[in-house]
Amino acid sequence: MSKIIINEIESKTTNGDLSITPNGTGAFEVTAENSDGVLQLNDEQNSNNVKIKASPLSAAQDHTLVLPDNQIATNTFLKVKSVTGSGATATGQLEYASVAQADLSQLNADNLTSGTVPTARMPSSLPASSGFGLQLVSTTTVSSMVKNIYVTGLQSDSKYLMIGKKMYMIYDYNGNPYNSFMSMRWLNSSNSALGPVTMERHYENGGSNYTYHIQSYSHANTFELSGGDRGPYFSFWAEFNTNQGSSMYFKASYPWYGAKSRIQAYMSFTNTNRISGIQMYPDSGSIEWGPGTEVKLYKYITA
Amino acid sequence: MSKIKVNELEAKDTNTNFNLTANGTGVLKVKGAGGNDGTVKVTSSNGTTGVKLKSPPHSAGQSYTLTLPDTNLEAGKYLQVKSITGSGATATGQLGCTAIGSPDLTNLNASNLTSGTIASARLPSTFTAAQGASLKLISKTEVTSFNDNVSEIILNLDDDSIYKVIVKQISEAGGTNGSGGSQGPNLYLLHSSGSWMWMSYFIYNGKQLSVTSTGNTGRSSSLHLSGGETTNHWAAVMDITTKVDTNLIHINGMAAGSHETSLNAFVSSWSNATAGSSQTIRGIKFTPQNTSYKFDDVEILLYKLVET
Repeated sequence: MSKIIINEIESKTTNGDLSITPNGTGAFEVTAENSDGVLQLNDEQNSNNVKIKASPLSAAQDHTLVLPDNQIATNTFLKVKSVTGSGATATGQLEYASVAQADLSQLNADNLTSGTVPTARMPSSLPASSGFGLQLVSTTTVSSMVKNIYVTGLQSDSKYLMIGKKMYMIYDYNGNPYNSFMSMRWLNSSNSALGPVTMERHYENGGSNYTYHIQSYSHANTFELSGGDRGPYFSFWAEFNTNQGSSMYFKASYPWYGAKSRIQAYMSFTNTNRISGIQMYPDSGSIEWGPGTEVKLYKYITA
Repeated sequence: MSKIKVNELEAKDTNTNFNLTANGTGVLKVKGAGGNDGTVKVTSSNGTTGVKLKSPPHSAGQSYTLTLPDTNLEAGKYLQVKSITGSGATATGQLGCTAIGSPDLTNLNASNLTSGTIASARLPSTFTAAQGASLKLISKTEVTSFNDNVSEIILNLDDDSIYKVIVKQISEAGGTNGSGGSQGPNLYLLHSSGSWMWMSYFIYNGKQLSVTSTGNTGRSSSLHLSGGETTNHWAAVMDITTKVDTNLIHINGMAAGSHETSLNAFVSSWSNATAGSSQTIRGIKFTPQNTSYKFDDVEILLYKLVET
């Protein structure tokens, strides 16, 4: 084996390459005594340099990297395209390759495997066909005495459930209860009372003999929802629609005083009017709704 | 052109570089020969292992220049072709150390959930009433046989709340073999302790096209939910508010059998005409009217109206 010991070899001619020609399958080998071989490339003034260094002995790597065989392209990365052989004979073919970005436009919901979707991220209303058929529209709570409770902004051609959860009728600001009953008006979109309204009322006779009564009435635009007797506190359920010729089923119990008064009433317009709002007030003139009175409006969702 | 043939060049001095100096624009060229592509082998410290950097094969027709990164090295970065000047054989690619950005998972578009199904566990346990989730199933009570030996069914209720109870069916049976017809259940109102409370009620029945009515002038511990006839099954819808002083249980019931009867009842906790003297209803209990009977075929659904 021939060997030259020297510190530098320089190309002989101006702008001439310095060629190293291994023989056959031989390689141009960069070795160092007791350290990893380093191939250093200097800048034009030899003041800066970048080195390519052998993997350490401990890594025991003998593979071959073949420089990319495709056209160099901006923003691509060096990728090991393929590997032939293994171990000391492994040859990795490099290529310039783009790194594929994850496709976030075709997500699989099955992959949501932890956490909880915040309620705020859910739609403001959910479809009735998915089980969300009854929507809370509003809660009206009386904080200080008030004569009227209005439920307005009712959508046409809809079905509502209105629940007077706690109805307190008070006659003075000391909160004293007063025996009365509720009257109701149906309103148009301008909050004007509409009529006429027919009512069939089923009720008991005020606790005197617990007799069942049916009566029918025709009201111009105001109707009393009395159970035949009065009471200061009660709750009610009312289901109504707002299509033309709106109708309502109403039931209430005045349980105080031994629960003497109950009513069921079936009401409807006699014309093509529709309910856009509802006004409720204690029938007796000076009586008002007391604090804590609460009316909830639910809507049956149809789609 | 001058040329020397030798197997090894070695630096002359200890710990000194071995310099190969091309002239001007010349390069250090590792030539291929004999059908083999030029290869630089950089060996490890004792020369037993080494990684080779090899020219692309001739067939690839590549002659570009790769300039090593012009920025500081950073761990975890990738070698990226940052820019290219020239093209073809004169193309020079400037390498850089670049991070490969992770996809931004902090601003996902829900419309992009295009397959699969969100597991129930990933959804909120409660939706808001304003979203349409106003009717929440609280419980389903079933009795499938007289042999289950069930003689009372209790539905617990919250204070100041609204419920709807669907009694799909209630039937009862007596005797050792489950014989005997249904009588319609008894209804009790319960305190939170489970003990019964006084009630007042008014009930009227449509029995074979005639209406009868009953009320209690005082107070009762229970109400027999019967249309007045022995029935096979009794079904009902019950609307309930539980608040003290204003509570209401309205029952629309139907007894199916040879003598169909309807039932329309209002039930409240009893009061003595003093505010707060009534009780908040914290539960209802059904028992067979005949104390020796057991429930035989029951399905009762308790829903709560969600208020927020």
